Amino acid sequence: VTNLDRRRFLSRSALAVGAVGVAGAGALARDQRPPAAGLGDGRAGAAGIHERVGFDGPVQAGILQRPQAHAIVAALDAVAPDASALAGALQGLSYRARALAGGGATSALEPDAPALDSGVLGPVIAPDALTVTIGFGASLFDGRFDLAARRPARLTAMPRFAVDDDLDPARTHGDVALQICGGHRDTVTHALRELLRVVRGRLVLRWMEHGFQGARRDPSPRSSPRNLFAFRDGTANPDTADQELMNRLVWSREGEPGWAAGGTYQVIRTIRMQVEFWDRVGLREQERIIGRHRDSGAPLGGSDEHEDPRFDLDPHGRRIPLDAHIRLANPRTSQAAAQRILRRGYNYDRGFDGAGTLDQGLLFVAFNRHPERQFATIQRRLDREPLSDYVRPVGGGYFFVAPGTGGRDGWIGERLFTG
Amino acid sequence: VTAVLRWLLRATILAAVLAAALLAGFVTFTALGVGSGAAPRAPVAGSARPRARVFVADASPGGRRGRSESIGRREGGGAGDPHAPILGDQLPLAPARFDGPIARYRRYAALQVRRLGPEVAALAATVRADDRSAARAAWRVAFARYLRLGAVYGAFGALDTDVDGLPGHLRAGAKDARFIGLHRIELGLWASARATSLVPVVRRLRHDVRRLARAVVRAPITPLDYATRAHEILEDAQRDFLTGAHVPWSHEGVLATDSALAATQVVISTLSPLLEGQQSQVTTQAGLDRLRTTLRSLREAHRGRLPTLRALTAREHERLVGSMDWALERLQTIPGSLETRDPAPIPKLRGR
Repeated sequence: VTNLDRRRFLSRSALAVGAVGVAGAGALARDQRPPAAGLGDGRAGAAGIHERVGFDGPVQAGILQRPQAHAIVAALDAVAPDASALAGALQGLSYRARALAGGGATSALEPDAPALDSGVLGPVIAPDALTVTIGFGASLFDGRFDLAARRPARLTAMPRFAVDDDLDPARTHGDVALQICGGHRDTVTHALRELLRVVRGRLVLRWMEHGFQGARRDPSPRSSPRNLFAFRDGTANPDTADQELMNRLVWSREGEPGWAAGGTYQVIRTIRMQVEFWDRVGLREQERIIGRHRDSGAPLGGSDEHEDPRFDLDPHGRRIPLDAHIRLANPRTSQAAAQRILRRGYNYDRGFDGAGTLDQGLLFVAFNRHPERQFATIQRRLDREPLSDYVRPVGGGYFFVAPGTGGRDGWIGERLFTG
Repeated sequence: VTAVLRWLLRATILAAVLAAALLAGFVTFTALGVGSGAAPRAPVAGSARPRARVFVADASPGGRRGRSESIGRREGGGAGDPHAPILGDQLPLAPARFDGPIARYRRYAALQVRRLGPEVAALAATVRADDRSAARAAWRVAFARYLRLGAVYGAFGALDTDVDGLPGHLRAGAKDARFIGLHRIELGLWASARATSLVPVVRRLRHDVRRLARAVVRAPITPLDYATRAHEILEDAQRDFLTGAHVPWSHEGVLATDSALAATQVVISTLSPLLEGQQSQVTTQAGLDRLRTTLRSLREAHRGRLPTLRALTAREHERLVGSMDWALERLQTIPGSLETRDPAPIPKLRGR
């Protein structure tokens, strides 16, 4: 199946609606249209706010789609008294997420009872390309729920890297991670609020971050959006339409327990950027730290964002310094090719600190098949890069994103308890 | 001809930065309702005698009033030429010209370490006597002293961590047995335990301060390190001290900022022969002076003692934050004023 086919399948299966959502006739008609070029984008899609990304499928949504404009990443801890209560919460999470992703009319069952949906998005919910991606942290597989034997093969707590002096335990790790993405901020805000209703008493918030994408401001749809250091981010991302490549880099099968085969490992890093300090640095210096031209995104000396930086022609770093970010992150060797990760990061903006400086940065999200061989190996290469003077990881975690439900009756994590 | 062009280009960039800083100052003070008079004139790129004018706040106890004066006269405090060109024509500087300033800084740093010895001994005595309040006062003195080394502690490597390390990198965090030094003592004095429990930690600190005395004379400092520290000491202070992140138990971020300013001032003063005749000397000094004035007024308002971050009123906190912002905006021209080489042009990427 090609990526396009899979998306079409996901779109069709979005017709499946949960206990609450009821797809209107309009939604049905829209769904039968061929997918627009920007499907899953949440910004460029012809369907706009009516764009629907199905919840069900062989893999979870929110991984291969181009990032929607807004995201919330929330980590929750399990306080369920036992495994069956936990399973009930996860089941509810999937059912509710499926309904929200499908959109449609909310129903007030009983006027004197609290409404089943808060109503924040109105009586008919536009799907807005909503995706909810559910992951499990290593801590979920401790003794509490008797799941230790079912831990995914390569799931550990996020190790501490040399740059991690400022990790805040209150913003790190967690039993369950929700990555909620959508075209507008109210869509993701509403989704989190509704999802928390169904897990109450079983899962509690540990930390959350809100992220946003830079708008597409360039004529070329291939141009990557900018991060808050003004540099384009995601240029060297592997092609998500290349299924064979995704199998090599993203989906984990080998050695996994049965329920987990075909899932992926999600790395989340909340990285504070000292934007004021960065703005006081000369442009030439900034470009040498990153290894790219700020405006075009081209590797230093080049003119096109997607041009190969050709480190092989520059062994002494005369064009791109040997410690430039792009050079350490991806030295473009055959070894490094196997270490590539699928990044799906967002910018964040969460107020200001006691020094009156803006609390902004990168909500780094990446998917990979083998976090130790891929993400961690890259991160260790970056340990002493000059960029580290301007950034500080403050939170995040490793999570295992289970395979998709496969169909409308399933729920994420089901086979963890039954399979 | 190429050299002249390069100089002009750099002067243009610096002029733009200066103009932005001056404009920001004007906007700030007029927004406060304290400015009046003509708009500031931005310095002209390449002009030999830009007459930049700027509004400055008078922080005297009489109140804040805006005044338009030559930045040289008002802010330079006699330390620089108000009519200086934006960049000196002696750029790039010969690296050997940093030898004198670095040697002078090293002598200053060695003196600070010599003073730190008895100060840590005094801390040891208060800890042995189990006198928590005297121990806190002694800790403040020693902590403030160590931070005056600002420009060199990066060169101490692991020894800096032993003296001033935070527990973030340790497996068990603050409970880790390897957590030692000034911040371990800070934790003990502000957050837990009897002062006497700190006796072994202070003993170890005394040992490390003796090692420091040997290290400070040897610490390698390159011209690039030194020029970088000229602005990064305060960048670090903003990030680590004003936020409270690196004073987690004592909240002595104002005291720490005061030390960082002192260290920066020494660096800038030793560099004055190199900055002579450049605008950044004038503007930088003005930024440091304003931060110093703010800290002095805080000390006066709090009975002669720099207050903790938590003791600052909202207004005081804003003034301190604003003065730090101002100093940092002005320090941003320092690296460009201290270049030791003209950067090579970026080779074109070929081989597509």
